[in-house]
Order: sequence, then structure tokens, then C-alpha cells
Amino acid sequence: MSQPEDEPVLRTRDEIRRASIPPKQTELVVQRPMPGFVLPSDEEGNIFRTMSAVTAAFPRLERGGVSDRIAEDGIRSLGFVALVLAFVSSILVYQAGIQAARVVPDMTTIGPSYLEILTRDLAATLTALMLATRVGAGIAAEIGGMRVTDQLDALRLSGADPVVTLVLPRVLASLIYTPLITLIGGAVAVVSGVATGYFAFEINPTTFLDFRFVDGVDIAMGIVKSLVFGAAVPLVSSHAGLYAEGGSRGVGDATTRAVVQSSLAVIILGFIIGAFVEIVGGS
Amino acid sequence: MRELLRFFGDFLQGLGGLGVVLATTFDGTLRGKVDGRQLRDSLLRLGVGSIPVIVATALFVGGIMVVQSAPLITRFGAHGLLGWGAGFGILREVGPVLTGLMISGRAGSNNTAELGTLTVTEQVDGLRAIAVDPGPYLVAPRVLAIVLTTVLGTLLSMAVALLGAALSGFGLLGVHPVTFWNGLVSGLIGPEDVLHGALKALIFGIIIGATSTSFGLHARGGAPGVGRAVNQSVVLSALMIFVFDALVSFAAEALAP
Repeated sequence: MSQPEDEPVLRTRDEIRRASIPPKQTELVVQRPMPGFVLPSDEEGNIFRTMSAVTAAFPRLERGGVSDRIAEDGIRSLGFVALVLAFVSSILVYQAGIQAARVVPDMTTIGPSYLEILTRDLAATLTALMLATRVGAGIAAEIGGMRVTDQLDALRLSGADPVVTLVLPRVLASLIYTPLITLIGGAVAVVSGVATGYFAFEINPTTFLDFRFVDGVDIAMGIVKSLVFGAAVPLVSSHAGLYAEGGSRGVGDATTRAVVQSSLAVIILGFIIGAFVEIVGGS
Repeated sequence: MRELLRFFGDFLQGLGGLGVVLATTFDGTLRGKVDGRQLRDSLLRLGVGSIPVIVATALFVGGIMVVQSAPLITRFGAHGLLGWGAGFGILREVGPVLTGLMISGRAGSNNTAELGTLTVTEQVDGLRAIAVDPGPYLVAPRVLAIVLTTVLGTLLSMAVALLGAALSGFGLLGVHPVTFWNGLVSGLIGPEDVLHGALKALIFGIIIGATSTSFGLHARGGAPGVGRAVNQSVVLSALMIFVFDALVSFAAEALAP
């Protein structure tokens, strides 16, 4: 880090550019330094700085942005997530049934165990992985495209903070739609699991739909996971987009980083939450 | 109606793109015309470059398998079954699928980004203009490299994930690694499970290679266009991975119960 953090001026790259724009506008920019400018434009980014910038931007949230993002990112991903969860849950019940038949020919515990794992982990994790692919790549491509075409700098020059206008609405929207999509995806997974159990192993749907293994801890785990993943995916992806470097190649690289890092974040955070509950709640 | 027709048209176009890429690759491979230097280069960048991601994912996935089966294991006191449960899941499903997703995220989108950049800057046309056929030079080496990476990466990730599962089984549930190993080799899991996973990996590799190459070559409209192409290719690869995972699972069970 080459400059002190609290200095609310435009960073080097913008300073160079300032020489080429009319003086009056330069005045305007210098007069209205925004706290959001903590995002450096020419330093190697750090996800924690992006996180703190997003948190700091919270009071300046603009109207309408969040609902736009819910429609754009959330609703459009619904079909994709539902389709994937339907297939995955069908395979899962099928494989579990075959294995159970090999060890104990008792099909009655498959339903309850499946519902428990679905609540604790699968619904949240699979939804988040799919959103990391679908929404994460989209966010990085969009913000990265703006970054390499200097539109982010243009936003800054006109006094709008990219973190406030671009990143914050996406994070908040994701916090809202991720749990909802998890819920819908989970419902699809339940239906698909019941159908697989019925058609493949003739498990009665009422036997299958037995929630006796699902307790408060499982439900809490599912909700916490979907919230944590919902925050992590747009943060990591926006971060990748904000620091895209170099033309089209840079946008592609940013998208790559967004998908890989947000998927990894989901997997690692999932493990941490699971292990934490296992150690603290220890059975 | 118009929307539907357009969607159908896009779908057919995409399918055709995949077909062309696969045909080009087979053609180049069978006639031995694949550019060796490009192949080595792609293997190095797409393959070796993906190893850290694969290893990191696999370690945690092994851990997650254990954490998730913890309630079942402790409920029935079936510590001896942990190795079998985690092993079965890792070898058949989770290993290939998650490795496929990560390779699609890492190597696939990298490939789309590179080819997309070449396309929007008209360098592919430039190749044609100097009488270099993009097929054996650009397409075949990349698809082959991604297929090889996916298969070998899946085998690697199986081993690492089992290691991760054994470690977290020991750390979290107190299942001794020897117990884990015994559960693994007790006869319920065999080479056919590894084969099943490897077959899935082969199919996923072909999906990722063909999709990412095709979307890269059809990128339009500057830097944002490349971003869009990467986005679409990753989404489509992920979707097809899950669909084909289901198909292969069901088919394998139907053919060899």
C-alpha cells in the first residue's frame, strides 16, 4: 500500500487523468471527496478492504437498486438452480437407496436422513455453488467490463461511488434472494427426492416425508449457511470485477477468478460452519 | 412465441457449435495433426494451473462429507462405516462433480476468455489469413488438454478428498484412520467405483472442453462480450455436468446392477 488509507483523494491513476480534464470539473471532484474512494484503483486489491468499503457504503444505499438486482440476478437464476437441485437430489436418493439396500434392507430411514442432510447442508451449499456460477460470473463480467472500459473511473469522476451504486445493491439483493432460492430449491429437491424414492424403491411418500431427524440446529445451520454464502458470493465476485486488469483478457480472468474463488469460499465456509457446529454442539 | 423461437434457435446454434468443436478435435486427434507445442502449452496452463484449486477443493470436500455424515454416524454408532460412506460418495459422485465444476470454473472459463479475446480482436481470422488452420492449432489442443486435466484431476481429487475425509474423521469424530481405511477397503467399494468416477470425469471433460471452446470462438462485442461468453459457458457447463451426472448414474445402475 503506497498511500495512507485515510487520505480521501483520488489515487494515482485518477490523478494522472485529472491533468487532462477541464479545471472546473477537477475542482468539483476535489471538493467532494467521498469516503468510498478508499477503494484503490491501482493497487493489488484485498477482499477485506472491499468488505469494509461495502460496509462503510451502507448508509448511502440508493433506492431501487436492490429490487433491480433481485429481479436481475435472483429471479433469473431460479430456474437454473431448481433444475440442478432436481437432478442432484434424484441421484442422491437413488445412490443412497442402492447403498442402503446393500447394507441394511431398510428403506424407512432414507427419507428422514435425506431431509436432514438437505436442511443442514445440501440445499444451501448447492444453491450457493450454482449462484456462484450463474450470478458470480455475471457480476464479475459486468463490473469487470465497466472497469476495463474505464466506466468505473467515469462514475467516480461524476461523484458516484462504484461501491455504493454497483456492489452494495448486489450484496444486499443476494442476502435477500439467496435464502429464498435456497428454500425454493430445497422444496424442489424434496419433491424430486420423494418421486425418486417412490418410483425407484417404492418408498411410500408419507414414509419418506418424515421430518423426525430435522431439529432446530439443522434449520439454523441451513439459514446461517444460506446467509453467509449469500454475502460471500457477490462480495468475492464484485471484488474480482473491481480489480480486473487489461482489456477483454482481463474481464475473462476476472470472471474466472469470481467463479473459482466464490465456489471455494462456499466450500470452505461450509466446512467451517459444519465443523464449528460439530465441535460446539458436539453430540 | 418469438421469444421461444429465438430460444430454440440459440439452442440449436449452441448445439451445432459444440458439435463442430468436438468433430474438429476428433478429426485432429485421429489424423495426428494436433499442434504438439500448443498441446503442451495448454496442458501446462489449463492443467497444471488447476492443481491448487483441485487440491484445495478436494481437501475441504472430504471434510464436508465427514461433517455431514456425522449425525448419522453418531446416531447409529457406526464409526466403522464412515470410510465406506465417505468413500462411496467421493468416488462416485462428489469427486467427479466438484472437480468438474472447479475445472469448468478455472480452466474452462480461462479457455473461453482466451479464445474470446482472440476472436473479438480478430486474431482467429488473422490465423486463417496466414493459412494456419485454427482447428488443430487452437481448438484440438485445448479440448484435449481439458479432457486430460479433468480425468487426471478427478483421480487426484479422489485421493486428496479421501485424505481430507480421513483427517477430519479423526479430528472431529475421533475415527481412527485405520478404522477409516478398513471401512474403505472392506469390500463394499471396489475398483468399479473408481472407474465409475473416471468415466464421469471423461464425460465432464468433454463437456467442459467443447462448451468453453465453442463459446470462446463465438464471443462478440469487445471486452463485455468476452465476459458474457465466459459467463454463459460456465453456466451451461455446470448445468450439463449435473444432467449428465444423473444420466450416467442411472445408466450405470441399469446396465450393471
